[in-house]
This record gives sequence, structure tokens and C-alpha cells, in this order.
Amino acid sequence: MNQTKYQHKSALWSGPSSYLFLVPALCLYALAIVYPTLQSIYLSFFEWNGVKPKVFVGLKNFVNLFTSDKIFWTALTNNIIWIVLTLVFTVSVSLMLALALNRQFRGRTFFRAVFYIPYMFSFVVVGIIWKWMYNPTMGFVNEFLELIGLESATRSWLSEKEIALYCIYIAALWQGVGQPMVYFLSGLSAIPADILEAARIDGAGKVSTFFKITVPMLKETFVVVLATLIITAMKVYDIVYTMTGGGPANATQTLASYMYSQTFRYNNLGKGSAITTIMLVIMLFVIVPYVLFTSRDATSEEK
Amino acid sequence: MKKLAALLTLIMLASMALAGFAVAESEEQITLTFWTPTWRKGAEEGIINDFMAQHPNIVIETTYMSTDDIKANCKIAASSGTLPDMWYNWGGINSGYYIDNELCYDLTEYAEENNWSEKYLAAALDLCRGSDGHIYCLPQNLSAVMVWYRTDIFEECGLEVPTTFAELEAACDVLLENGYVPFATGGQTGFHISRYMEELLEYYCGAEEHDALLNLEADWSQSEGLVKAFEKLVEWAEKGYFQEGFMSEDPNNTKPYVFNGTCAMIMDNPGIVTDIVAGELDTADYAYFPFPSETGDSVGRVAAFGKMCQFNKDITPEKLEAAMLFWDYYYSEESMEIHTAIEQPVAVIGASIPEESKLVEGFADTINECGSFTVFDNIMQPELCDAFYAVTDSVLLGDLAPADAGAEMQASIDAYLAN
Amino acid sequence: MKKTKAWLYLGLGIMMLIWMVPLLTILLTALKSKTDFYTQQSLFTLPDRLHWENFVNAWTSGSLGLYMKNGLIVCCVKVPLGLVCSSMCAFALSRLHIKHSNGIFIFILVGMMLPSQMALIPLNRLYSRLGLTNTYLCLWLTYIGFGIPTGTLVLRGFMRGIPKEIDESSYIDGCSKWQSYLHVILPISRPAIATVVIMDFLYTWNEFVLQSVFITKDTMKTVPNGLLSFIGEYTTDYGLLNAGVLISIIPVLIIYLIFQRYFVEGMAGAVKG
Repeated sequence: MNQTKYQHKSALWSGPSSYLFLVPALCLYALAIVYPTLQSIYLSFFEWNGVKPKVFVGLKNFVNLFTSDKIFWTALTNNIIWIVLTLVFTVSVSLMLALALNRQFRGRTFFRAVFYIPYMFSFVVVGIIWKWMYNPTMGFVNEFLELIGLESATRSWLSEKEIALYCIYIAALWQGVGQPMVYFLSGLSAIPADILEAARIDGAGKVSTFFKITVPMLKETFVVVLATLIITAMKVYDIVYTMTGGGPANATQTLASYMYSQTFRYNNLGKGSAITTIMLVIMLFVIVPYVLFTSRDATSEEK
Repeated sequence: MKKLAALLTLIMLASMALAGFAVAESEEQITLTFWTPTWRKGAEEGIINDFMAQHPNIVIETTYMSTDDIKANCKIAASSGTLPDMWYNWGGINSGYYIDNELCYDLTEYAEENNWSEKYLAAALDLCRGSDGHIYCLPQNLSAVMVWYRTDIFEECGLEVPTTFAELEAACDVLLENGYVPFATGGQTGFHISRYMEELLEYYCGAEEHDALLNLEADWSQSEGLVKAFEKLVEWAEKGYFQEGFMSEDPNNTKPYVFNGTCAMIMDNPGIVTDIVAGELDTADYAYFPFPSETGDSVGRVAAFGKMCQFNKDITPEKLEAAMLFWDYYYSEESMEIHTAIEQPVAVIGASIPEESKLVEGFADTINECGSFTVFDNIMQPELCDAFYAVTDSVLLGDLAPADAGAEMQASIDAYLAN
Repeated sequence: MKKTKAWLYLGLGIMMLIWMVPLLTILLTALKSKTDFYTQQSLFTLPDRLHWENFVNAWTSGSLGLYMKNGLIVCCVKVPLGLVCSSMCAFALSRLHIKHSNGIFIFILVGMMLPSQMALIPLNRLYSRLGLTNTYLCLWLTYIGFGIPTGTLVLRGFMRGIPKEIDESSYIDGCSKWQSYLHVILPISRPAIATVVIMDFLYTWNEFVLQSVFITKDTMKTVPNGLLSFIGEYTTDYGLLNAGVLISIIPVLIIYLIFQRYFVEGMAGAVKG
């Protein structure tokens, strides 16, 4: 179509040597990711305890998960909730921080570091710290609420089915804003100052400059941020495992934690692989249209 | 930019060279690979170094891993054929996986030739047997869950060690009146609450039915004892027998509640002694008693479990010999005198207990007197454990009536058996 | 202008306070002895004496020196090589004529979805057959492979934002693809490269799942392994753990501080067009 034509024309260099640029990446990618992924998909049609001969069972693992596995559905729902929370809060908080920290002022390197440091800890460490933050008798959250006279609001945060997942998310938010913030900062630094300057001279307000210039200029950054965040949200595991272990009563199970239990605790490698396969398929449905949509948009705009 | 790139390349090449050196290795010795939990490093590092100094031809390559990792990594290794020569394991379903899948060495013959029955406690050796009666593991520890309590708090409240269930409850009420929480527990991952639940099951079902339930021979939905046990658990939770927020507490964080005097008792294994010593707490303030789950003429059995070592089924005779030399040294009187941090109580008959671990004294005898059943997470398959923990959570949260808990559990069992 | 600045400082100040609380908890806990921690009534109870020796003990009992050296060996190969692979790939996908470039990109992206635990069994089988277990080679290969999706995603995103006019002028100047990649596009992409370096270093430094299976030699393991030794079967030594965590992030912090100025600097000077 039109846009592909434009792409052809815009790529000045041609010839088969272009493909050489892809070779190192694709080879290692094939080894580390494609090969295990194919194995996983293959195994999802089998019943296997890891040692004994595999038994082909067709779609049984999938059928079981979808029809008679309550935990699977809870996990799937939790992942969707987690994705929505990430898209709403992690994105907006990190974008706000990036906008603020992109300005010139004293001490901004320090501020940037403070918000990035949590990201340097592993999920397990973050889980351990926040477990203590929520501790009903010794933790900060309840002590703070008591201090400001909100004793009625104190509770054992992670024991309540309805709120436990959200409490874990707050810990993940604390840890997770640093990375998208850095993406946004790097994207913002690519916006030429004279464009913003020109807008200001034209008399555009701050809000309209933000939506009319900054956001469109950050389009590629948004692709990066949203893709990584959605995938991280889909794979969330360690922090949940450390903070609640999937409980109480499986209320905070996620697909990855359930996959882990099935594979390494229950010795159901087939079922674990089936969960992985489902995660991959969901990802295809979310990411593919998004990437295609943004790619088209960008090229047609350049025109 | 160019300078930076050059620098990076230089660092990269240097790293590769460094890594190259690490791979080089001599071949003339017997090398044993050994996987063991990180928390045993304190004692084992010294034992292994001493042993290797005495036997220069034997090298033991040890890998320390956390509890979860050693369980998972052994399974991964089993699946890819890379199991080490020997690895630490817990009993029941844990060691059972390697026995059932024919991955570990059959030690029966070796044990007979070397009179293991005179060397190791019979109860510990029994835990090393597969369903065919053969011995597949080398016993290391015979452990059990009992009630560890603060003697000073008991004294302050004028309490004696309870010997019946009724006395235990009465003691709890006195503790509550004096501002102490009776029990510390942590519900995350579920196993710690199940230590209370299994004693309640033992008390309300009696030994026979309890065993039948654990062996999946009885119908959980028909058990009246189970209903009573769950009702009691809920009652205890409502009365404040467990500390606030216990349901989501990490079992690894429960002991501090006893150490700082919030709670007076905790269901625990003798591993707690290591923490009492390491935390420089007064050992005189702690003691244990078996949970009084008395039924009929029995004083109430305790939940016991074994810790053991398994050997690769492909281990060569030379390697096995070297390995046994190592274990002989490990639990020799000489080594246990030097390495006082060895996990207690050990499965060796007549082993003396070091000064630091005096609190453990008489533990094996208590297990013998009380009799024992297998601790819940060593007899139930992990899937059923998790199902039971979820049922317990739901009952405690009020989402599931104690009367319906059995049916819920049985449904999980049926689903498991059907697969 | 002054007023906005005041609001900016106020808002950031509040956010920072919230963000600092858990960090302070870590620091405070790192200064407590086992006894302090066991017997405290609150996380914010100050110990009688600040136990700075926890840092020394964590360093020695967690063998952090050895594990950090190993971590650096792994990172110093993985990060640059990974960067070369993914930047070449991103360059081709964003600026060269590649058939199905979107398809290839999606193909690479979907791989991010694979939980690393699922790669353990197939890769462990492969590596043990090739005799690669317990070598850093298998870690380098795997880590680079795992880093390619994110690296490519970030770099491609940035490179797509570079105006096409740049290509035209370098084409007219007679640059080949390789020259354009090395001398034009890569230097402009510095902010994105800095991001990828920090991110890759961080990932490799903290990665635990893969290395715990592929490397079973204790002397070859990396930092997370040292930290785990403070977690017992049924207890955790929080003082040492937190002290160890604080020590272990120092190299990451240094890398961050070195490279963050590249995205501060931006490309204002580099791009004229």
C-alpha cells in the first residue's frame, strides 16, 4: 500500500547485506528464546512429570485450564487488573516525574536517582521490604495511619482478599516508575527545544503544548513504555510470591505464579507449558495490533 | 564516544580472559558434586574443608541453594539428566519423587553391609525407605514440630506446661488476660498454619482417622473431626490466639513475635534453637513440649519429618565410597565436637549434643514416647497441600463454613486423583 | 516562573519523601543486629547502637567480593555485546529496507513474553549436552538472547524518531550502511544507548533464575546468590540482608550515574534538521 511504498523509498540503502545486520541478534534470540518457546508450546500438548515418558494428550491441558480450573481464572483476572493498574498509574506517575525532572533546576540528578534507585533492587528484595511496610503491628503503613489519627483505617493489608492485590501493586509502583521515567526522559530529550520554543512564541498554553507537541513527539517512547509495561505486568511473579505467595485463598495468584507452581511444585510440566502458551497468545493479541497501528501512524505522518 | 567504545572492548576482553582461567581444572581426583541448602553452610563449609584436608584425593564441589531453589533445581536437573552426585532432601513426597522416578541410588545393600540399623535411629531410617521397603537415602535429621514456649512468660502468668488439650486452652486464656498472644504463626504459603491444623485434626479425628485422611483413604467430606478442627481454628483466630495479621505473615517472620515477647508459643521444629543462639537470646527463656493432642490412651502424636541425603543412581562405586567416607566424618564424634552448628537433632544413635544446642536435649526421646505422624507437607502432594491451605484461608476469612470445608477439600482430591 | 519552580520543588519533595520511606527502612534495618531485629516492637525502633559492622559481615559472610567480581565479568561481556547485537538489529529494522520488518519486529517482541523459568529445562539440557554448564559462555549467550527484545525495542523506537533527512545527507556524502550505522546513527542514539546499558547491566546484575541453574559452582555465581545466603530455612537475617543489598547496588548506581548524563545531554547538538 501507500505506506509501504513510502518506506521502500525512504530506505536509501538496499541490497541483501541489510539482512546481515539482523543475523547476530536473531541467532542468539533463536537460541535463548525461540527454542525454549517452541519446546514450551510443544510440551503443552503433553502430560509430563519431567522424567517419565511424555504422554500426548492433545488439548486436554488447555481444556482443563479453561473449563475446570478456578485458580487459572483468578490468575487471568488478576493479570488483567494488574495491566490496567500499570497502564493508568505507572504510566501517568512516571510521565509526570519525567516532565518535572526534564526541566533545568538544581538537584535534578539527585531527584532522578531517588526515583530510579528502587528499580535497582530485585523484586524479591522489594517484596521483603514492602512486606514489612505492611506488617500490621510493626509496619510503617499502620504506624503512620495511627500517627495521623486514622486508627480506624489500620488493617492487616495483605490478609484481606479484596485489597491484597492492590497493596502488592503499590509496592510494584514504588519500584517500577524508575524505568519508564528513564524512557520518557530519553524521549523528551530528543524533542528539539526550538519546537517547544516556537509553540510558546505562537502563544500555545502549557496544556495544549503538552498534548499537541510533546505527546505526539513521544509516540515512539510510548510504544516502548507500553510494550514493556504490559509484558512485565503479564509476567508479574516474584513480588507476588514474596509478599503473599499467591494467597490468601489464591486471591493474588497470577498466571506466572500459577505456571511456576504447576511446573516446579506439582510436576505438571505440560500444564505449566500450556499456561505459558496462553500467555504468549494473549500477548500476540495485545501487542501485534498496537505495534502495527503505531508503525502505520508514524510513517503516514512523516509524509 | 570512540574512547568509550575502545574502553568497553578492552574491559570485555579482559573479562573473557578472566573467565577463561576460572574454567581450568585438574582431573586426577575424585570429584563429588553436592547440593545442599544455604542455611546449612555455617556448619558444612567447615566440615567439607576439614574433610578435604584429610583426604587430598577427594574434592567436594558444594552448591548452596535456598529452600525453594534446591527443590526446583533438583527437579530441573532430574529432567535434564544433570543431577549432582548427592543432594540434600526432605522426606516424604520430596525424596519420594526421586525414588519413584528411579533417579536415586538404592542403598539397601550398602546399609546392610555397614550395619546402618545400629548406627541410625530406626525412626529416621524408616523415613528413608521407599514404598518397596528399600533404603534410598542417608538419614541426617529426625525432626518434629512441637510447641516452643517462653518459660519466663509462663512463669509470670503462673502457668504449668499443659498436658491435655483442655489445659492448653486454659493456658491460652490466661495468657490473653495477661496481654500476651498465645501463638505465633504465619499464613503465607500456608504450611505454618497447617502445623496447628494437623494437631487439631489429630485431636478431633484421632490417630486412625487422621492417618486415613492423610493417606487419602478416608472421605474428607464425611469427617466430623475435620469440621470440629476447623471450627476450633476459627474460634482460636477469633479469640485472638494468633497475632494480628497472622494470615499474610511470612513464616520466616513469625519467630520474632515470640522473641520479642508478643507471643508466648510457636509450633516449630528444633531449628528455632539456632535462631535463639544466633540472636544471643537467653536460652533459659525457652523450652518445648509436645502439642497435647491426646486421644484415648495416647498422649498425642507429634508431626515428624526426616531430612536426608540422596545419591545419584549413576554414582560410581569409587565415588560412593568417597561419599560415605565424607558422611562418616560428617557425623563422627570428632566432627560434631568441632562443628557445633550442625543441625540438631541428628539421626545418629547416641550422638552427644553440643552446649549451644542443649535446648534440643531429649527431643528424639519425646518423639519416640509420643509416637508420630508425617508432617502435612511431606505426606500430601504439593497440589493437595496448596488446596488445603486455600481451604484453610477461606474458612478463616469466613468465605467457607467449617462444615463445607471437607467437601471442598475432597473435590480437590477427586480432581487430583482423576488426572 | 519563580512560582512554578516553588510548586515543582514542593511536589517533587513530597513524592521524594514517600519514595524515601522504604529506602530508609532498608538503611535502618541494615544497622540492626539480629537481637535488635528480633526483639523490636516497630521497624522504626532505633537500635541501642548502630551496627555498622553489618556491612563488613555481609561483605565477608555473603562472599560479596567474589560474587560482585563474577557479576562484573558477566556484565562486562553481556552488556557491550548485547548492545552491538540489538543496535544492529534496530538499525536494520528502522532505517534499512527489510522485507516484513514489522513482522520481524513483532516476532522479536513476542519473545519478551517467555518467562525465564520456562527456558530452564530446554536450555539446561542443551547446555549440558554441549558441556557448557558451569561456563560463563552459556550465561553470556542466554543473557544476550534474553536482552535482545527490550534492547531492540528501545533502540528501534529511538532510531525511528531520527529524521530521515539525516540518512539523505549521509547517503549523498557517500556513506555505506555500515558507516551510516557506526558514524551517524549510533552517535545520535546515545540517549537510548545509555538507557539500554543501564537497563541491561541492572538485569544481568540481578538475574538469578537462569544462573542458579546453569552455574552450579559456588565460586562462579553472581550477586543474588550471595544475598540469598542470609535467608534461612525458617528465618531471615534482615540486618545482613539489607546491608548486603545496599552494598550490592553500588556498582549499578555507579553505572547509572555515569550513563544518565547522556540522556540529560540529549541530542539537541547532534541533530540539526
